Amino acid sequence: MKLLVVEDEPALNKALADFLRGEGHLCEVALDYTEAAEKLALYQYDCILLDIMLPDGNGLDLLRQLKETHRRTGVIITSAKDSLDDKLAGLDLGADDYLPKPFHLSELNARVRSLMRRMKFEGAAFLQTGSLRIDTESRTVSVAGQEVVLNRKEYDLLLYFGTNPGRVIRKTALAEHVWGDSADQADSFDFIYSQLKNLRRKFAQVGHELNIETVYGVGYRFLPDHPAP
Amino acid sequence: MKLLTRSNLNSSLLLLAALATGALVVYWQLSEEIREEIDEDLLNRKLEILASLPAQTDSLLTQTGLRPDFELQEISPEAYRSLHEHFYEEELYELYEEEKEPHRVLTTGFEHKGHFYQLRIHTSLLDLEDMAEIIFWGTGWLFLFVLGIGFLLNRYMQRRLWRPFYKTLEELRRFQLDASEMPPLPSSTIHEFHELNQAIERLLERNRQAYLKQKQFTENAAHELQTPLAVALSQAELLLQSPALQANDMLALEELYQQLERLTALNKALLMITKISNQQYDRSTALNISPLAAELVAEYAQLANHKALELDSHIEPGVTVYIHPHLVEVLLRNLLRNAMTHSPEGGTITITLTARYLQIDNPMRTPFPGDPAQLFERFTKHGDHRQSLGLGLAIVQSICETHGFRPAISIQGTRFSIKVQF
Repeated sequence: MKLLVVEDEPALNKALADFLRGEGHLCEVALDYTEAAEKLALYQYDCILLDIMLPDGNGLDLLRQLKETHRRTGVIITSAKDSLDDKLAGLDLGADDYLPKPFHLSELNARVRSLMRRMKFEGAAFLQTGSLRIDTESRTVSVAGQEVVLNRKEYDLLLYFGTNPGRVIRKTALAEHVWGDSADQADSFDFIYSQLKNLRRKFAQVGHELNIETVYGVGYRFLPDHPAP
Repeated sequence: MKLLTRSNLNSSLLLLAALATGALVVYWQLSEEIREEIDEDLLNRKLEILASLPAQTDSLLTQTGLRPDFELQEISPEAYRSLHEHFYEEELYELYEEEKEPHRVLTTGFEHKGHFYQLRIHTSLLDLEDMAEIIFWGTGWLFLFVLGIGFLLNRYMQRRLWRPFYKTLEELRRFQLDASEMPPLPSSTIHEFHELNQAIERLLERNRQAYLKQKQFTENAAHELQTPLAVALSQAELLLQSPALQANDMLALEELYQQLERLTALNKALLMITKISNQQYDRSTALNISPLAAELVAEYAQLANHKALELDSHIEPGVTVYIHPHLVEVLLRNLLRNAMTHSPEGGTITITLTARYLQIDNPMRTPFPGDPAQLFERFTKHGDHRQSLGLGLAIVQSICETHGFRPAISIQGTRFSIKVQF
């Protein structure tokens, strides 16, 4: 997928681009409004990561122009200004998602992947890692062809792991993803621990070992299996 | 004491002193004058008596059955020689008044055909006493009259005179440092009031400017901090994925991460308080908050359930409050989070929402020793919560302040209760 990162802070821009390239995307960067406008006029992107507060213009104007010319481009707004107004205005103008700064890179990855699936990018509306298959339209999960019935939080948790295979995911990032604004509770960590136990148990019931390893003191890492071809 | 009352009282006391002194002086002068007149009368009487002597018999009667205005008494030549004519006052019994009354007496002596006599002529001083009484009452009534007139005049005049002052006072009472406009102080032709208003205006403007600058600074600082924090967090997360990391490196990195997150949360909370008190959430609307409250209670109930806490909610439908849609969520979340954080396992949190108030009751692990209102202060923490920033209730407080709600905490032992009246 071809991405454009519009972010005026060079260090953050680089970190985001590095991360997305590491995820296997083609990634270009723009450090201000003018540069972003030029690139958008010249090239076609699948997805844009758009900061609203730019030194020489408002990201929302960029979004407005973009939606007139390139309807198919997905847009994720990132903004330090965690104001509801910006969020609403952005979504009104046709942005696909809104990610308030600061955010976890694993969360960004989850949002980008989710956007890709919704856009039916590469024709896939499901996620396959190893023998695990998550259908994001019907919100069903199967492993090696056998369906595993999960509740909402378990599904959210598994999808997050599935989107970030092999990556160390911090407990905080998991809690924030699953619990949103009610996450800042030490209790939510315990809760995630018990949800994970349930997940493992449910997969064990269909004879599959879900390989989510604990990274001591930090979080968890999901290691997908390699199914027999 | 009010200025008007005080000035009225002062002038009354002054008036009383002046009138009393005046009355005393008048009384003293009049009584001197009257004594002199009486003394002259007594001397006249003496001359009359002496003039009538040649017609008398050799030996004068010293006692008569009647009581004339004089008494005669024969005295020895020695006594006559040592007798000097003098006046004095004496209490004499009066039949009509049926009591003793003061009299002025002239004592003198004379010789009549070889005999020596002492003559005592007296006349009543009653006139003087009556006069004192008249003066006293006259002055008293005058005092009351002048006092009454003065009081009414003062009330009217002073009120008029001080009107600009009271207007200024009223404006100052209503003044808020974060108001967008300066209060309209009344103009006055009186020099002192004019100067006072000018001094107040200068003072207010300086304070307002300082306040605005400080506000602006807090906001800018928080904005500026966000970017480096975001960069540091992303770098830390990138680093966390490095396969070269040992287990203890990861722990150190996690600690670093947590501190960065704490800073970020602090910064966000402070920025939020600043924005709330700067009234940057200005799109308040009449909002039915019951569905949101129910939704949030359901959300927290899952976490509560995990912690063996019971959420007992009584939410009236259709509770409408005038508030910004984002802030009402922040308010509810902060209150619920606060209750969840401080409740021991197995406790019951009661949430009550009615048209007039929102109340949350919960048990605490340990009693709070200080004044409950302290908990609204920034960075006041209670109990051992490493995660807690001590800003949750400060945010609640500033939301309440800008929306005219009245929040109150009451604590009885380990029973905590917060009530927000709309």
